[in-house]
Amino acid sequence: MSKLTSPFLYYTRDGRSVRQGHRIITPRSQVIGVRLPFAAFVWNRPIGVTIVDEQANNSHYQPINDITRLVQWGLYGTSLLVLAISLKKRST
Amino acid sequence: MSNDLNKLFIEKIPDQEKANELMAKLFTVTQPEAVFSPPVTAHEQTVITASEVTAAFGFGFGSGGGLAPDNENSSDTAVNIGGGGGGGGTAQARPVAAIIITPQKVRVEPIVDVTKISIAFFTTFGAIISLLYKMKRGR
Repeated sequence: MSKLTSPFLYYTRDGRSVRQGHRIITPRSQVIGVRLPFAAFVWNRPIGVTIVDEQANNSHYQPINDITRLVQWGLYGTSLLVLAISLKKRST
Repeated sequence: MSNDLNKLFIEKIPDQEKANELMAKLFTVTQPEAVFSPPVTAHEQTVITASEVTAAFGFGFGSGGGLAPDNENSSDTAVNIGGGGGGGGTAQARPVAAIIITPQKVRVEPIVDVTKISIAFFTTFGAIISLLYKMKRGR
């Protein structure tokens, strides 16, 4: 885990656990950031939940997928691909 | 998000020390509590909202001074000193998913931001059409 004194932050943190019956659900987030003397940037996003089933005596991790960001980057990637193909076609 | 963070952008920044305090407040978004809402329970169902939080902040200070004669005929010199500072920042949060806990199972329901996807789609579509049109005209 990075310390706050480091200029770069990159770590995961567990949130407060929720108990529902025989299950304990713990959400997990990831922090990415930069801290400079006159500027700072922090991005904190949820990455998943850990589910511990005390009755079945097992645990599993369920990831949280950000559909909006996936689609956005997919579209931007498509436009870059089209640009690359068209530039290649132009040069040949 | 915490009240501290919401307050961040409406406070004055009179000096470097205050700016550093505000910068420290910005790091409250690194807490998991900024991402996950408190659980809400109703009819044996518990829901936790998971949001993505982004915050950025920057500031700067500067000062300068110089000696200059009061007027051309005078030998007296005036000392002029000036200084200033400024800063700005942004913070945004977007819901990403809802964690729904029922007595039977735990499921993660994604929350799709249709507006963001539409903007990305039309930007991409526009860029591709414009590129293809320019290529066709260039031939």
